[in-house]
Amino acid sequence: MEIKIKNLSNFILKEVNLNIAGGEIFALLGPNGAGKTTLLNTISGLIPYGGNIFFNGEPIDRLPAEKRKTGYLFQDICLFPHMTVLENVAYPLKNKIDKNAANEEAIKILKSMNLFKFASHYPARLSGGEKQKIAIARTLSSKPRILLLDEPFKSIDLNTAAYLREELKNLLKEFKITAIYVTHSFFQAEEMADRLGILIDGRLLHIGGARDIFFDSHDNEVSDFIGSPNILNIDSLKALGTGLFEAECGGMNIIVPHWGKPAGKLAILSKDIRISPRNGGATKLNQFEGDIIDILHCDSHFKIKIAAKKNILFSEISKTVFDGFKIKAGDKVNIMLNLNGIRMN
Amino acid sequence: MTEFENKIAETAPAAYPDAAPKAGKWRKLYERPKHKLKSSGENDLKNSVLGFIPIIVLLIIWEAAGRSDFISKGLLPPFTEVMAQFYELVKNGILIENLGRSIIRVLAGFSMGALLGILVGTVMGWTRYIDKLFNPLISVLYPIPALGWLPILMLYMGIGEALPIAIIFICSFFPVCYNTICGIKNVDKNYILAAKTMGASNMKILKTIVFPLALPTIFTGLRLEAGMAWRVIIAAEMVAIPTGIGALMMKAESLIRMDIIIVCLLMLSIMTFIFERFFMKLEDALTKWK
Repeated sequence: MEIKIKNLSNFILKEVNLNIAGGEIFALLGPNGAGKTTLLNTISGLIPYGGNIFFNGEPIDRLPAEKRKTGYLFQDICLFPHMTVLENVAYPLKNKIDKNAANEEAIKILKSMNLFKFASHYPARLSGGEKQKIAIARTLSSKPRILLLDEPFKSIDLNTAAYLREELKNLLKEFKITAIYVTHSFFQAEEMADRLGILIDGRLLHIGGARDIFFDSHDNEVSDFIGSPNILNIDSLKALGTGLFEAECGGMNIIVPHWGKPAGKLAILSKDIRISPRNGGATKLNQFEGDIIDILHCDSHFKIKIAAKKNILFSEISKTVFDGFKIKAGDKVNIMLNLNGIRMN
Repeated sequence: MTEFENKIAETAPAAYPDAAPKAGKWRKLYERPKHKLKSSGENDLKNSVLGFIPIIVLLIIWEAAGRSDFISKGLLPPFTEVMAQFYELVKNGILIENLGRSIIRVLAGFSMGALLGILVGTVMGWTRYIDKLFNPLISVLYPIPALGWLPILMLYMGIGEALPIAIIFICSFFPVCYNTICGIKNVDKNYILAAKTMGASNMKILKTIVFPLALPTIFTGLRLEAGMAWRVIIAAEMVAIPTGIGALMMKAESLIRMDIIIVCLLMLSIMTFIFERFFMKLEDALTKWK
């Protein structure tokens, strides 16, 4: 199911335009209060709006929420506490088919997702992860044309959330469901989505692949939100034969994950560059020596401008860490690049 | 059994033996768990036994005080004499007749008041413009004590069976209505939005989501008002109606029969307890998910 959003506006959103292809997972990123949940609510028809929304080319603006056939996975799960797991999963189906058929279908879904053992449980007896799995089963049970996910794994521990994200992504791809995934985390967006959009103050400022945002975005608000990446030109790239490459950038030999394509640039966020006062030579993997050129004081953190070989890098550290290090312009520091934070283009 | 039913039979969870299909009854799976989520059992029994201890101590002190020379028997008859009088009143039918009349009045007035209160409260809690229209009226009438209506009702209806029923109706309607409005309005809006995106109509959302989730608040009102209805009927019968437990108490007072007054008070206490307990049990049965 293809989604087209044209000039969507309301009390938060400002002229939002967006096209999402059928079966695509689109991540929506943005700070608190940017309008991410409002955008999902307008698509599902829960709040009024101006502009147009099309599903597969057909306008749906006049359809009420209950007729839009969108699945919505809420931030706070929203399993009905007075219904058993089976009744919860069968609920969307009961709005379409008779009660017995709905229950049979719900049993099939629970079995296919290995959740049948919880069929007679009330939600109060389930753990956070189990509840979220049931919520996914309930949302998918009505075979929605579009799935709207509003930070669905926010209240779950990191490991369970990572596992559930992977499971959900597989399900979405298997059933070719078009999905919009709202998150605060760039990492999650990159992991889950085919493309992502940055929504700031009701405006959709950037749409594209996760890597494009690092290399192409020149919007200050977007850069501020994702954390101003350092961009380095790659002079040469050498395969190490272990799924890793060695990229030479202005005299620094940086180990990077396998990218599979020729790459000319490397990006790393300033928060992924860690520094420490120099105490001996930096010889470990992705560690380099550098000289502090300048120290910029931002709201809650410090930006350290460092010269490393022929490159100028920015590192972001918290006030507490800065106070502990007692560093000043002209000091020598060790720089360490976080391997997982390196992106190439 | 069909192949599908057999598959379900194999995977029925061991923790729910009831759910295992027996002779084609695999649909038992659809049934809700019979037990309440909170575990109680032994602790409840222990607490009940503990709760009886002060009552027994009080009865012993009462019996001893009644038999001592410090207090006149006319002012405080011993517990055993009160029980003997209770037996006498049951045997000659006076207690049964008066209690029966009070029970009928409470049941009639309370059931009408509570049902209408739930109905009006549900409509007002669910429909914003009806709430805006009638809320000021309810807010003005709700604080008036039920017995405050007695003089007006006596003038309009005269003294008869309809009068106590009308009083109990008023006593039950406003609080139950008010609690129902609160219960319906306080249901988490996200449940309603979630049900909407699942294709449920407004009426279905009210019936399957909002009303069941408002039940605990509605039952709080019902439980409290079930007890209040008994207190009000006794007062009304004492003041204006010649039959019923309240009237029996007034007659006993004029004859200085403390034993009969105490029997009537015990009956009031027992009836209030039974009514409140009934609604507690009903609430437990209807809100197992809590």
